Amino acid sequence: MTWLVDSRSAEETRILGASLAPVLLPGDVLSLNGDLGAGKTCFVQGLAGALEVDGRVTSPTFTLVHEYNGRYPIVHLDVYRLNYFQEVLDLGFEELLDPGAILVVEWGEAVAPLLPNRYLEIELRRSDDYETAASDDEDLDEFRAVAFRARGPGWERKLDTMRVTAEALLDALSPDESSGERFTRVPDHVSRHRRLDLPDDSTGSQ
Amino acid sequence: MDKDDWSFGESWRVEPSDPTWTGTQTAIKEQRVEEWDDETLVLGIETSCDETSASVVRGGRDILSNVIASQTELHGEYGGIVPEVAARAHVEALTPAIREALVRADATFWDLDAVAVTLGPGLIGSLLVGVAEAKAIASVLDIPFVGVNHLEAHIYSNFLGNYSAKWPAVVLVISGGHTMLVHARGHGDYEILGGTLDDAAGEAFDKVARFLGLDYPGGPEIDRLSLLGNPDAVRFPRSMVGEPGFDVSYSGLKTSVTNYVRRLEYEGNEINVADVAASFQQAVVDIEVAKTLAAVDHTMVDTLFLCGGVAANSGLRTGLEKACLDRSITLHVPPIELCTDNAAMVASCGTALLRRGIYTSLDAAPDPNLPLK
Repeated sequence: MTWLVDSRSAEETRILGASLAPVLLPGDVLSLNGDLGAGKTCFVQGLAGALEVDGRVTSPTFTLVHEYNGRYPIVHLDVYRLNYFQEVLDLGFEELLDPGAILVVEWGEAVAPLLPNRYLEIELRRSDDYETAASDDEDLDEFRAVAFRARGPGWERKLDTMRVTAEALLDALSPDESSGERFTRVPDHVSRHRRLDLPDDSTGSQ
Repeated sequence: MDKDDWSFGESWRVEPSDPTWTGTQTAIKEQRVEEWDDETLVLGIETSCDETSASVVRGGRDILSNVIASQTELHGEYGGIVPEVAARAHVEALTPAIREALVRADATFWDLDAVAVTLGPGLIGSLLVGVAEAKAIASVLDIPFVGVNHLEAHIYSNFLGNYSAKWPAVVLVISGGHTMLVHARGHGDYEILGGTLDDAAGEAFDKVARFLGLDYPGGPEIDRLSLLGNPDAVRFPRSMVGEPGFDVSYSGLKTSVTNYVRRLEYEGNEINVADVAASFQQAVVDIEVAKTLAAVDHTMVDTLFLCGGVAANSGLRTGLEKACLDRSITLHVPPIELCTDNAAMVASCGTALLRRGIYTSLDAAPDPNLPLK
């Protein structure tokens, strides 16, 4: 089952990241997906801030891996620039799946076969529903649909806790616009994620 | 310095069990450290990210060789594999690169006075390859081993072959992985004024290029298209310009480019890619020029160093050149092969450290998050 919430601004995306922090423990894996500019790094900034990371959280697209020390160590990986599973493995992916650290993988669904059985998938998608954007066009550009999808046991319960935190924080951000429950439960849909090509030889797949 | 003073053969003959062995070695090193001069030969090794590079630099300024293993001429040596992020690729490429660097410099291992290597920041697996190799060379030759900060090394790319470069200066390090403004007061005396809050500038270039369907890496492609497009066609936001501080942010700009293109696509309008590229590049240039000039004003220096891969961008160069000319600021821009990751800058930075008597213990481990101090 998937939980869906609309984020109206980068600030709200950051809050969604932050509200996930209290339920995270070392060993947890987050797979973060969404197009360029969807707010993946923004989400991680919120998460890292809430986990008491001091210092800057920037995009690891070029540098591939960033490590932060907060309440727990956080490993922030971005596989956008990689083309083959073998490259992800060469990067030391198995070591990055450290039971002592929280692993956040941007474009994680591209490497879904390498992820453990238990992880949280987060998808940020822009609204492309321009029809409904009658007057305030600029605001729509800020809108993101954020989906949280539990993969494997354990995440359902964590998501329940996270939703309560998120609702409270979002309400606190804009008390005037408080519109009841922001999260909605939707059936899983077929994922449209970009996947890495399999290598020419079969050495790369697991 | 007279290299015969301390022949490799002599120390080779010393029995490892001899209690004076370690002491002698240290004494010789210290004596030699005082002798760093313009003839000092340092081997630099750089493996922090994609590039495998080895270089021999004399006196910290003269490049005798600078081999970057993604260059085509080396491909024959290691079977045509272009080095990737993989530590494995560094392992394959590094030894041939070092050999090639020595051959081109017309030097042997025994001519070297020290080995400098990038200790961080970078990918831990890649860093380890270079550091292990550098330590092995340093301990076999019994010469000092110097660990260098990659970002500090970038600053030194301005001193290579350039005797007019002088401290103090403001340094703009701008590449795919980093975007920062540093106030460099002198050797080892740096203050980070600001940097990117999200994406590095080069990363924004590449992501926008990919979104526009241009070839990867997209920085040069956007630069080329910009010459054909109208930089005033679209007014993209210049976030944080005019605000206090020297930080920049590119995620907003990147998002507004994608929003603009998606909107046009939705409305069924044709997209003028050249205009979008030119307008985007102009926004980046405006942001960087504004922040850099603010940093120059703040620090009251009259020298500006530009380094990092994005220094190759013609728009940025022109923008900064014009601004510096107006304000009589001396702008130094290294040639492009020194702007991107290379070992010559590592050797130069290492030489500067050695001159100040700083070298690194062989116990030192690479640090993927090594801060610039």
